[in-house]
Amino acid sequence: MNMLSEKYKNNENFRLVLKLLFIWLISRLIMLLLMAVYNAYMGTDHSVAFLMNQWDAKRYQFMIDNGYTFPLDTDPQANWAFFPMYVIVCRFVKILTFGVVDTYWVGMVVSNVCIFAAAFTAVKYMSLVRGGKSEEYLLIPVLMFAGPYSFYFGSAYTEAMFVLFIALFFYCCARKRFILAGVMSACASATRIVGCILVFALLMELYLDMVQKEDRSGSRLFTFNRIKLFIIKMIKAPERIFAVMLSPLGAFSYMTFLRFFCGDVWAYKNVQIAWREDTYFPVIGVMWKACTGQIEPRYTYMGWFCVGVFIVYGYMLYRKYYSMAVFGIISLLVPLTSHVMSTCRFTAGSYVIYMGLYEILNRCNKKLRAVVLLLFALAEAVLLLLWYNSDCWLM
Amino acid sequence: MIKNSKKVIFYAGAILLAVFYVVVLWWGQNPKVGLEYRMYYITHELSDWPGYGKLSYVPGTVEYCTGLKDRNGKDVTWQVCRRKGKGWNTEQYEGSKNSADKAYVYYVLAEALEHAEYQVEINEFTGDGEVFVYCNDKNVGSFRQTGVFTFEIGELKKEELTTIRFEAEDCTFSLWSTMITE
Repeated sequence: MNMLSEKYKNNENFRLVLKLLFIWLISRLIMLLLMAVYNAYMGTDHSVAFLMNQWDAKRYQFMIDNGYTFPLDTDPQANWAFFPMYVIVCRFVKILTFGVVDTYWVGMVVSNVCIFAAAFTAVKYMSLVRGGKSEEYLLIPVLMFAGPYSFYFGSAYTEAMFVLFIALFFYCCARKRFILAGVMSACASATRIVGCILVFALLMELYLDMVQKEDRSGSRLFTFNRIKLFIIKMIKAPERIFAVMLSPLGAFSYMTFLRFFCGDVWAYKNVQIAWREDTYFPVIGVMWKACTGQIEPRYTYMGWFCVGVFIVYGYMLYRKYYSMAVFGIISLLVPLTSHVMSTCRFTAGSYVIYMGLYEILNRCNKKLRAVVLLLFALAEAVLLLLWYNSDCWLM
Repeated sequence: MIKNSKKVIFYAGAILLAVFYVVVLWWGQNPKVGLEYRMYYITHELSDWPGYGKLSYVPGTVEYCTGLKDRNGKDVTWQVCRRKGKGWNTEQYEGSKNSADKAYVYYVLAEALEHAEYQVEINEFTGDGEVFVYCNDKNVGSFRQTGVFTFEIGELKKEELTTIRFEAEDCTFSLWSTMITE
């Protein structure tokens, strides 16, 4: 006991893990409590696994058990749309349990482990980049475990794993371990296609690294000469080129699999036609239709949600979170080329939004921050109840 | 020396990855897929997914142009025409209405026909205009009211894509059933 207490006092990481564990536990207890409330109110007796795993979680469950399959004659929604990393890891974990553990539980355990590790990495990143003790950044794990839309990180969805790879990517960049960052980016791109966009964040990090080494404060960040110098330096640094080239490896590996599986490397993209036939002018058309209420009310909400997210990313640029903001903006623009559907989930799953929210909340006065956090908690509670009810707003 | 060989390894690795990506992108330009996949997922010429190999058609089969389920969500009992292309309404409980001037139906015949006929049943017709029917861009006839119509379309080759096109002028119609026969 004494040893543990000593360890708690002296070991910052140990202390951080325990604190994260506490926040995580509270958030999950609230989830369980709300499940009981839901079951009591609806007069149902649904299990934890049933309530936590709605919509695409069912597809992941199927894929973990059966792998990729061809579309049925009556249903063109092939599961090629879903990237394989999460499925592979869950499959591996299930094998470790000799296949006896329910697939949903395997998925939830993997997701929770991932989000826990991601929260730890996020705190370490902030402590490394912004200075100070890890404990000063506990607001980020609070948002990741209990903020709006954080329930996705507790279900059999890819979001938690994706967030982990992004968090590790930025941490590796901050440590100047660019090849490792490339590996993380490759893993992210094998989890979701927008992981490929980390290549832009990596280029930005490499550029900022060069600018930092120049140490000419005061001059403009982007100048023609600096960009030219960056290109020359990149060509002369093969390990950096290699790191950049590694970034989309996960996605290209999956595309190779698709070539041999169904003959079409773009199958994950082409299959989207089975989900929606409505086409809008990319980004501007989509946002206009959504924000002006020309589609469905849920999409109007999501349209305005995206506007808010872009404002947060803009603020992050102002606060010099360049690479994160660039990644956030592009990763939101990608789905907006076709629809606003699922953009709330994509935003939560982009990880960087938590850095922006932290930066905003950290600068608020204590009272306002408390009010905002309370509102966030209420929003998450409502969203959780909607989630348990399989509400289409959360698809 | 070690530093130099490290550099060479990284350059080689980057080049290998680049070559791999180019190969994958080249595969992307040349998909190795069947006709149904190409027409539904890639070119979006088909409005319904028929299933692999399901554009294939045995002459004499009557197909009904509805969805797979009725209004009550029950599976229909008849052979559904899942070979419709662009130009049809998505709601198709009482047959398929055209939603554009041009509406398409595709066939891949399982056997060759020397003197093929195309038979359609039209269960709704509105407007004063006329619908012209084309088979592989050749006009084979027209209709301007409801009823059963038969068009002579001549020779059709085995396992070749046959395109039926309905061109509606100042009218809308609902296609209930279709059949190719000799």
